[in-house]
Amino acid sequence: MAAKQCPHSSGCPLFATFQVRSFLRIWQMNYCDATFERCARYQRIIEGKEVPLSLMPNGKELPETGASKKK
Amino acid sequence: MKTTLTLGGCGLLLGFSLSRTGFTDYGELSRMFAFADLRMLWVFAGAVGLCAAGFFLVDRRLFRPTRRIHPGVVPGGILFGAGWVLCGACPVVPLIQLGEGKLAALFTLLGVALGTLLYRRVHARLLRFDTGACDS
Amino acid sequence: MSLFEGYWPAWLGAIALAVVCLGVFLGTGRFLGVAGMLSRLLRPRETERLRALESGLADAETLARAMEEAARAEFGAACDAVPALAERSDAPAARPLPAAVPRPPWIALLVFVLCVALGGLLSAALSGTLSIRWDLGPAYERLLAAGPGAWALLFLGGLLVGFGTQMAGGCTSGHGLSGCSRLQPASLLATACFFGTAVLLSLLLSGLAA
Repeated sequence: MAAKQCPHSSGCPLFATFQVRSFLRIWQMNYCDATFERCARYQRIIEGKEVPLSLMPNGKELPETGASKKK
Repeated sequence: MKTTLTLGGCGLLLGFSLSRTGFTDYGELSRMFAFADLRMLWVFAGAVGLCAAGFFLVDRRLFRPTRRIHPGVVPGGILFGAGWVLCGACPVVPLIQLGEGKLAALFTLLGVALGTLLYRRVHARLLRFDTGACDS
Repeated sequence: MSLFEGYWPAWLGAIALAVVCLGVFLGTGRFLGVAGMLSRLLRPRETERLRALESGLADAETLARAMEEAARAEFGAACDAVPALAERSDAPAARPLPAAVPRPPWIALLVFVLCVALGGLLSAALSGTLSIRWDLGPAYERLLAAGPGAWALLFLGGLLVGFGTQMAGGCTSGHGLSGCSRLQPASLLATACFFGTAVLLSLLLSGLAA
């Protein structure tokens, strides 16, 4: 049974980040490799809206962490 | 700040050079489309060639195909081409024409603005196709 | 050849446009694309909201850490059950993430648009062609219409241009210059379509006007 893969994997900045931390692949397992239609980023693109880097597949926005200052 | 200055300076040069080149003159434009005068075609082709050389020198990875063909490319291109002939403008031109004193461009600009906003609604409610990129 | 009278020769126009396109990329990290900029300019609140959301996530480490926290919040203990992947020696902090380029602030887009108009003003002033007029010249009148009829067509044309460029995902600068020069498939196709359509429609109008 072929696994469905989100067609945006190659272009998605979050997907690229998932690859370098094993911990983060849980996102990939639950969204990109499975029911990617549930991904909030994918839904936004279908709606034709811009997708911020901070938007996670579950629809929540990443808060700033650490000591990063606004550039 | 750097972004604002860059966009300001490049905007100024863009407006100036498109005006000096003839892209805001309907007569010149129609001569280009009729292939009666190839000068403006060469401007475009030359610019593309120079940019290609420039991008290649900066980073070859810029040539990786990230902008993929999606269902809107062909129909959108056709609509744009038709509109271009009807108003003599690609999106930036009415702004330049206004600077030149051609106030009729206000109608063009209004159309462009409304068309831009209208498309968003139409895509979200009717079309809903995948444009294939998070960072379009 | 004069810089300010008559129209520029092809080589000069080509150099100027290339300087603009490359200049925008080198100065902002993003590709020149007027259709996209106009779209963002028309949505100031959303543009600034997206910018605020992304600020602080510009480096890969911060992004990865934030995502880990979000993963814990969402999946809890299941995170620990993910099969381990040997931590790579080429850590993400060494390479910038693809979409880490900050979005231009809305005000920068406004400055761009105003400067473009100013460029037109300077050009007309220096070439002695600056004059207030409500028509687009004899060629337009001959091929299309004059007076209020022309204004209606300009509006309709503008509507098609705005709508079509958004649908195609770019215009002559975005697809034509930035895209084609990098051999992007969508740009090459889009440019062929809009140019081709313009040529055909032009031909038709010339035929009708004759």
